Amino acid sequence: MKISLNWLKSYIDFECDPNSLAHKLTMVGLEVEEIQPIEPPFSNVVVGYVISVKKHPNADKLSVCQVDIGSEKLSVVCGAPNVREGILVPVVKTGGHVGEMNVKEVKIRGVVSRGMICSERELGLSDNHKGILILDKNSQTPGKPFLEEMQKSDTVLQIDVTPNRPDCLSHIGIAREVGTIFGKSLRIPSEHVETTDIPIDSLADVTIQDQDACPRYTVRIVKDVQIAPSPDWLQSRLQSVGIRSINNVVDITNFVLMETGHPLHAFDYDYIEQHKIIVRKAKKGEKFITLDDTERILTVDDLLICDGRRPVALAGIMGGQNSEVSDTTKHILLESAYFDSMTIRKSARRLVMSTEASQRFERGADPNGTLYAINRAASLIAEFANGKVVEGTIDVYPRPIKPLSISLRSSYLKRVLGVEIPDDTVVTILNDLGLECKSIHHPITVSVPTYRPDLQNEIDLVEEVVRHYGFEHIPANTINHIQLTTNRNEAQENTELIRDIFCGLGFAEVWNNTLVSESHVKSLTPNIKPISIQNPLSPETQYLRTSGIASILDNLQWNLNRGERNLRFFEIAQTFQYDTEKCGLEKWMIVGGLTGECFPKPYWKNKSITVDFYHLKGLLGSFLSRLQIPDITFQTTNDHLFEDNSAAIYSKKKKIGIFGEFQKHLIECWSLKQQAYGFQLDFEALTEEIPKITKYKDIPKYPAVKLDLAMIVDECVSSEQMIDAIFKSGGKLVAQVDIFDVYRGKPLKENEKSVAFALTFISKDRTLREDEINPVFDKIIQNLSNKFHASLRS
Amino acid sequence: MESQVTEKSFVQRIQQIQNEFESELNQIKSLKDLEGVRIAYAGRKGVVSSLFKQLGNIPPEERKAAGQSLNLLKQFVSQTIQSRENSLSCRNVKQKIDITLPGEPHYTGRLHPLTQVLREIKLCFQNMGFSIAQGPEVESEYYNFEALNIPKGHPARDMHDTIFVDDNLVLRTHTSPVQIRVMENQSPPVRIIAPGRCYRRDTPDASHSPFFHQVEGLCVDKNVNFADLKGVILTFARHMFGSDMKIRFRPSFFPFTEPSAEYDFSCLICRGRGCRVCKGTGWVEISGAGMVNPVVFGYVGYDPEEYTGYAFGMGIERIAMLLFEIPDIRLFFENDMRFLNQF
Repeated sequence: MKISLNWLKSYIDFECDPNSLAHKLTMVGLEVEEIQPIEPPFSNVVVGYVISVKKHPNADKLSVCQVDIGSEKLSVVCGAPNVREGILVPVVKTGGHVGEMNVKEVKIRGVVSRGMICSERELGLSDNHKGILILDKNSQTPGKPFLEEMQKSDTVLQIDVTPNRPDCLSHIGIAREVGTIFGKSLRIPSEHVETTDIPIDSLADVTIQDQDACPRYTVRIVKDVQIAPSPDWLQSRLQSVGIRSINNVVDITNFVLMETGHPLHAFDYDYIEQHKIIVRKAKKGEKFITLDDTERILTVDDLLICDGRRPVALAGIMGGQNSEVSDTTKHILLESAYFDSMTIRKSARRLVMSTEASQRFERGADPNGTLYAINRAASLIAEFANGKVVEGTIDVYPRPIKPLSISLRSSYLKRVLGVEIPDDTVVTILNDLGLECKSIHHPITVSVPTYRPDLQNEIDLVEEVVRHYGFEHIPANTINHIQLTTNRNEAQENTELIRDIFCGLGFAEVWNNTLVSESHVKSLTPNIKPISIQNPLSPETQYLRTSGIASILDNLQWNLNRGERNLRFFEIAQTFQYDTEKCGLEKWMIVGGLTGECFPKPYWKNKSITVDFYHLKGLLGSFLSRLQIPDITFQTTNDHLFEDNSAAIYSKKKKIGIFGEFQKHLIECWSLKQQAYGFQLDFEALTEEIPKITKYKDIPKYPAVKLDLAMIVDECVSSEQMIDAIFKSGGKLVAQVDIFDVYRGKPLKENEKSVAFALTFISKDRTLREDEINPVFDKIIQNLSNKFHASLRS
Repeated sequence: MESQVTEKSFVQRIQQIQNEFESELNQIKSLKDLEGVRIAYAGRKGVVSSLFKQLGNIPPEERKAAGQSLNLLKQFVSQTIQSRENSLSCRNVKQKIDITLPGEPHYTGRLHPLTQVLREIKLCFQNMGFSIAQGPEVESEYYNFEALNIPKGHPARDMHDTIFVDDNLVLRTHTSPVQIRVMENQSPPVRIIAPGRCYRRDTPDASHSPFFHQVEGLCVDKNVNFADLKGVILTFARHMFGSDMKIRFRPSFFPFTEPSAEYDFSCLICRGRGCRVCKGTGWVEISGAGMVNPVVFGYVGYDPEEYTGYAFGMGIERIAMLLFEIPDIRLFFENDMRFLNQF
């Protein structure tokens, strides 16, 4: 909402510079977003009396004028055809300016000119440039500053009015707030109308068919108007708040709208067929051309103002072309109505029409403000369009809406705010805001005017009081008695723990977009039904992501394209899928990716090697071990994400995740320049397995005995099978089995490999002797030989 | 008896031997060579030893001075050989370590800056007795709007450019629905913060992202008031940005709080003096807060005559951008290593 300070001052007197006023308004909840100074497009302009006019000696079309500006007499060269002796004109003195032009003493074709006589257009007053502006002798005095100069200087505040304050979408509404700030009362302009004798009832008839959508409809008729451009003051008022001047009648309705906040509409009376107004809902598919020359196709939810035959306005939103006020209009039918906010809002939304009128009706106009607004407009039309206002109004208002009465207890005020505010301060604030206090003690009871539909309950009055009392007068209480409770959030704790572990393993955490494109969803999870967005900003954000892996591939791509070759990322990622029961199923995954070398940078001491399956397996192993996930096994998997060098991770036979080398087609699809590995762990499945409490186990008191063993076996025997067999046949004494070498090649046969184990034997209760271990060791070898046709490598 | 030697000629001889010793030492290349030189000069039958024998030939009155010179030579020879031996053995046996060579490179893990800021926020509120609650990102229209006193058709819905899944399901536009979910499941006292991702239909630019993160706060109990809200926000401001922080509340409008406010912190750049970042006001806008509207209590069955509450929100990105002076919100989600490695 744009508020002109000059305009505001016609309702209230206050002395305050624009910056301080803006601050004060902001601090009562009317946030001033911009302070726009409006400077006149000229300076140093005075009223001059033309003493004499002589033809320029060297130019046919120019004259040399002697002009009295009070303090001195100037010789001014002027080219206007209408300049003559004895008139008053605006003169820019040397040192002043008009528009882009700085006025200096100059010689024009050999004659000195010490000023400039201006046209209306040069002064920015209108488009008239036929000649110089001739001023009225009665209101202007030579030598005095040009009066318009004062009026053109203004400040406009751009106020962000919150949707609960329709009343503040007007100068009077803002003036009321300013009045409360400064403790000043408002001057509401008179709406007194001089009328003719013709009674209105004989000229028009109003029927409301839908009283819920239109609780009130008020009409006045003004005859014999003279449609003309608006007077300057009116044009400049509208211009200052960004409204284009059209003609005097339309301008007046707009002026009253900006003054009171109540939307009005002026119809050309002669185009209202049968002089009937019928307010009804539209028929399905009914067509109507609005003022902006657009055909609207309506539904049964839209409200129409109709005459005896057809629609003439889309209620509360925009008038119709067929009854618009034009240059030839003679008689005016003025509408001032109150429409239901929901009805207008629905139509305005569906038709994508947001007008000054609809914005106010949507937020809630004042049902009891129709009369003032229509009378104010009628009186202005009488004055500035020479109209004759017909006696009386038609006011259909079958169920009058009465002001609400609300009480405010001081105890409640204190309970909510934590401070005691004296009753008389409370009463003053409420009264200044127009909330008339019917009782000023225990409790304070106010009548809420209908222009404040936001005030419904006691708590709303608390807000009104504190807005003007000031939050700054409420202390910040940092001493608090609180109930001691503890509500641990395990999911949150686990999230943070997992973040720390991956961070410690050298992974960088990423936070990725969850709104993704169709290809993002389809390429990785063709079998999951995604959640689709009804109103996406673009196809790129049509779905909620179904997998975190695609995001990780995005991250690899982005950074590889920027020259970073060695990368490792992880994300605790929310993914979504459609679910018929819950509608949206949110699933949290831990995803990650890595590519490049095992060292992030070249190392002078060791040659770095490219990351591979075992590198990632080792990292994930550390991660799982840190979380103490029990009974971990790895199984081959043929997940579509990964190549053959991939595996599924199980804990206690429950699958908790997968990892491996990304499939070639994904690498190609994301245009990655090198192979990459990734993993995906199910957050819930994984964290379920984190033990709640770890129980202490005795630390071995006796020394361990270590023995190495290398066995040659067929390629198809897995190391895991062999380790299992070692534990089984070794019994309790075998504490740990590590693999320290795997060898293929000569002298072994083609399908053979040699696997070398480091065995650790420990006993809880004694130091082991060689003769105790040897039989166990032999048994292990025997068992491996039997089970896998393995032979001891010597 | 050998002939008499003068002290002067003796000292000249010492000087000559020292010169010869030094030039010989310069030519040696190994410990073995060095051993040869040692025997020749410092050995039992070496040059120095033979010089000592000649001391007796010097007249007694000059003998003392000559002896001193000779002792100096002996000392010089043994020290020089020792130091030469040290340097030779070092070169051959163990290398001297160059501690300036780079160490083994390792990947340095990073926590996302938003994680770091969120942890700080959680720490602060957990210290003040708040627990952590969560809710779904795909949220019903009821929790996101209606139960928060934003009925269908309410102009306040325009304040949220909503992303819809269908008519009854939205991507939550704020974390406030978690308030309702918590209150439905718990009787007062309630003290929670709810961090999470929210969505609005905003075209991305330097200060907008269609998804972003908020932390919602809610406290409901007997005798909870606006002064308590101010205390909590002040404590948070000081925890996050330093003990000289000031806070400011401005009246505003949210349907689920009444009275509602926007709260500002004193500008972090100029510390309240006024600068370009705060547009000269000395304040930067943080987020909204207020007392829980009794209408909302109606939805969850709390008695507004018994309980009052306050609620507040904040944008994690907003706080992080202020804290780290990050100019563009999109940087958080590009996940460029050159960005992530800075935190």
